[in-house]
Amino acid sequence: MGKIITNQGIPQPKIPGGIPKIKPNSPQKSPNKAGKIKNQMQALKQFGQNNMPPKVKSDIHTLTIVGQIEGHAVLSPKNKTTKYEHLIPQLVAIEQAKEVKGLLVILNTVGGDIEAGLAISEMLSSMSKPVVSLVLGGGHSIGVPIAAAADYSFIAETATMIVHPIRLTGMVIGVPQTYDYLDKMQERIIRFVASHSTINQERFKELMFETGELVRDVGTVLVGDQAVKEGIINEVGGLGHAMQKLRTLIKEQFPEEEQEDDCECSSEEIAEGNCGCYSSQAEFQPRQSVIEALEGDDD
Amino acid sequence: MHYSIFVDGLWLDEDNEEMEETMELDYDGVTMEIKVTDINAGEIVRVISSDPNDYLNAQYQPGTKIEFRPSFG
Repeated sequence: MGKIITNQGIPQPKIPGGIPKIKPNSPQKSPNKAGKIKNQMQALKQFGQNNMPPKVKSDIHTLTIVGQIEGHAVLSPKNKTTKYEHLIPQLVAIEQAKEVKGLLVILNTVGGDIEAGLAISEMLSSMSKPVVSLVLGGGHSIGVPIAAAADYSFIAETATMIVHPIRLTGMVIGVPQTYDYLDKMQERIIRFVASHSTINQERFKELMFETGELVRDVGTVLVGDQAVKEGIINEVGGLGHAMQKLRTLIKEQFPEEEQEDDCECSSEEIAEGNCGCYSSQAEFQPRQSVIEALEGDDD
Repeated sequence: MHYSIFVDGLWLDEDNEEMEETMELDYDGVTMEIKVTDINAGEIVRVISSDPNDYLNAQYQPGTKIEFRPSFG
């Protein structure tokens, strides 16, 4: 893989620490500190920013599940998809990473592959760390078990969830076993939702086969608090509520550890590297070099 | 097998009108989708990460142009 150069003209070598010291059209000649500052100032002028924000440690990770949930078949590029090959390794990484304490799942999906959807649901429900889900816009079809899989689920007031039966598309072998297979697939979803929320299997099935709700389909549209009343979702709320709940769950699970909600370090502490809120990632180094250069000048 | 509210067959639509070619690239531990604009250039389409801070990184903003450079080893 070749190296990448951003449009800001900053060469990005793989070795950390080698960040932008060369400005375009004038190779750096003076290694002295004044020259260093000058270069930094030049960068500030050219790019309108000193550097990207320092990498802040976050103990909450987020998964956004949008569009179609793509499974074993690659969907046409016209579809906006969430791929399970992205989500599953991320979930494993989140489960393993010590610095990650909780997971927020944001859903705005029309549904998708059953196997992929159930795989994600199972992974979410079996995670040892607190998981909070938030349905925004829509969390339809296979999005329902994913939302229910979290330890606690939220739905925005305007968000909807459509619960409908599974359909078969394409060539179907017309034997009674086909129906049995369809029924089995459906049972998996019904059972999962019922065991991960307060709705029972019978009621969920009723919602699935409701007539008179949808124009072209059998099923039910649940808007905001209706999903809460049916027991699929825990509470109506937004991002703030979801974050607050996640923090509470994290505190319950890791009571001994101090929560890093905000960085309260003073700028001096950050400059001296005594602040634990920022990681010493490569991105932070240029900024540190400016500070060093400025400090050096004061001597 | 799908469980979706999308109209059946929409995702199986075969008439691919000039879709832009994208590729996935791992850079500094962050996966991103890159639209290939030239033989040695591309543009970030989206960042695929669970770390919310990766989305704040000014360098990874969608639309940022990147350049591919050949290298050995």
